[in-house]
Amino acid sequence: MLKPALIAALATLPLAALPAIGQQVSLTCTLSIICVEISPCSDLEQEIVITNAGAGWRVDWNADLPSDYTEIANIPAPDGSLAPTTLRTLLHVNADTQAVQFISVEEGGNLVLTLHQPQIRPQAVTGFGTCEGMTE
Amino acid sequence: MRLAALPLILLATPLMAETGYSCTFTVECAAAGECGPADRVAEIGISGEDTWIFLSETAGQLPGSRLSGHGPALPFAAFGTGPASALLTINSDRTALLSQHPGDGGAVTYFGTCEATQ
Repeated sequence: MLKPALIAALATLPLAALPAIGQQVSLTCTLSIICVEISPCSDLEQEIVITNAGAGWRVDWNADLPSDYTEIANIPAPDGSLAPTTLRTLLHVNADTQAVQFISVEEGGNLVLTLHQPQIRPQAVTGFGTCEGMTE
Repeated sequence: MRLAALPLILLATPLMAETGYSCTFTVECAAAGECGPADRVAEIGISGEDTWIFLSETAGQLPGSRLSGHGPALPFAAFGTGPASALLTINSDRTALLSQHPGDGGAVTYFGTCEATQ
């Protein structure tokens, strides 16, 4: 059982950041490298569009793939960082395929994507790309 | 001094959790890079609806989210104020993946196993 003091301490932990009210985000991203498990990486030319028009986060791959994502992190640069930038991470849980994907985009436009599906091959896939767009 | 450090010690230990997982990762693959041996541990603490993840490079716990309690895969996500976003998934055979996006444009995935703890 948790002690009351520890429960109180846990209550002070920061919650996952939510998009600011009224914030509009529209990013057009190109995934240019894909790395499957431990195999050598290969080139890719996949466009995705990341948006938040106030109704939640979407990452659109194509019309056939789910696009609902949840923001799980919005992390400003730590004090003294040599490359001050904000990191934002979105998460998608696909209950049908039991796959989990998370996408991190930093303020400078670099994007990293990782897929986990440990029950089947490939167990992990990571992609890299860049984004252009706007945040209002 | 010792008294001042006590709360940090308490917060940093996963033993407060009622249940959880203890994970050891032995292979590290830097995406767009090579794989090599690793010696990395992670602890997951679960108490009721609350989940925490303890990564070795962080001083304390990251608030986590148990993404699914059904099916063979048990995915967890760690997030919050740490220097990197992380995703940890555990399969029904206790093989596990831990990936991190450190914010510098890179990514790393660790391969390992987890054991349930009481």
